Amino acid sequence: MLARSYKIATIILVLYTIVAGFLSPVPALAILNETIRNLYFHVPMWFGLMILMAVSAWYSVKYLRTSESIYDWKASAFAEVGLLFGTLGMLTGMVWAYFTWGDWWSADPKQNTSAIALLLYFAYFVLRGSFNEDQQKARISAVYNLFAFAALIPLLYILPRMTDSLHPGNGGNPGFGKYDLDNTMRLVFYPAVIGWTLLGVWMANLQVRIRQNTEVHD
Amino acid sequence: MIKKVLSTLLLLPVVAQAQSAQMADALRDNGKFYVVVATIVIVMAGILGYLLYLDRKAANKKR
Repeated sequence: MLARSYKIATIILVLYTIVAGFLSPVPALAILNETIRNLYFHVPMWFGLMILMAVSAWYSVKYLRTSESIYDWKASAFAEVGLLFGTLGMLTGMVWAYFTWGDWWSADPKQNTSAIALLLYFAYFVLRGSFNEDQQKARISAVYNLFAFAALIPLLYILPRMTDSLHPGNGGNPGFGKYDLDNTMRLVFYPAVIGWTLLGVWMANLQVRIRQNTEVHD
Repeated sequence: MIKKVLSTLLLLPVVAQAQSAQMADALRDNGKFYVVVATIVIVMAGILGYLLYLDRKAANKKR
């Protein structure tokens, strides 16, 4: 029942996001122009990454407490989709940056720290690929996953706020939230975050299910 | 006469600059609307690519 209703919610929320995201009224701001609508497509990728990585870390804790391989598969599946979201967030952010900040990559503090965060998670999969023995792989990568998640929070939410940044909301640059994100935009933005994140959960669950089927057949 | 020609010549670069600012730049048309289109295309391409990868993985395991 729950398994079905979240999929229905995903479909409704993502469709709503796309339609309302393109058509709903937005504040008319210089430089940003219509690209302010990227708030519904670029920003939820990073919110989604954060939530998916938190779920992944939660499963890593569960693995370390129980040593049941299902939790290892879940941790890796959620991190995989989280990394996909992060990569998409990075690419969409670069396109957005080119047309508003003037360059694909301005070495903005938040661009740099989020690139480091993605590299940390790419390393998680390199690490996973380097073991022959399943239990050793699960245990060491679970510990590494917790380390990566602990680094993710300062990299995305603390360090960029400590210096000036082109990103809104960082280093004395108020931007979105205070003046730009009006109540009409909130009506699309929050469903967008929930919708894209649930889509990520759905994708991760499919990955886990495929893995489960393999193990049974072996 | 000379004054007129001179002032036209002097003004020409200013007028030309004001008019030539508009370049063939589709993504900046209509208030940069197509940047949003590009964004959603990237997101959907990534998600569909992942779907293909999952599909192939599921097919491989059935054998």
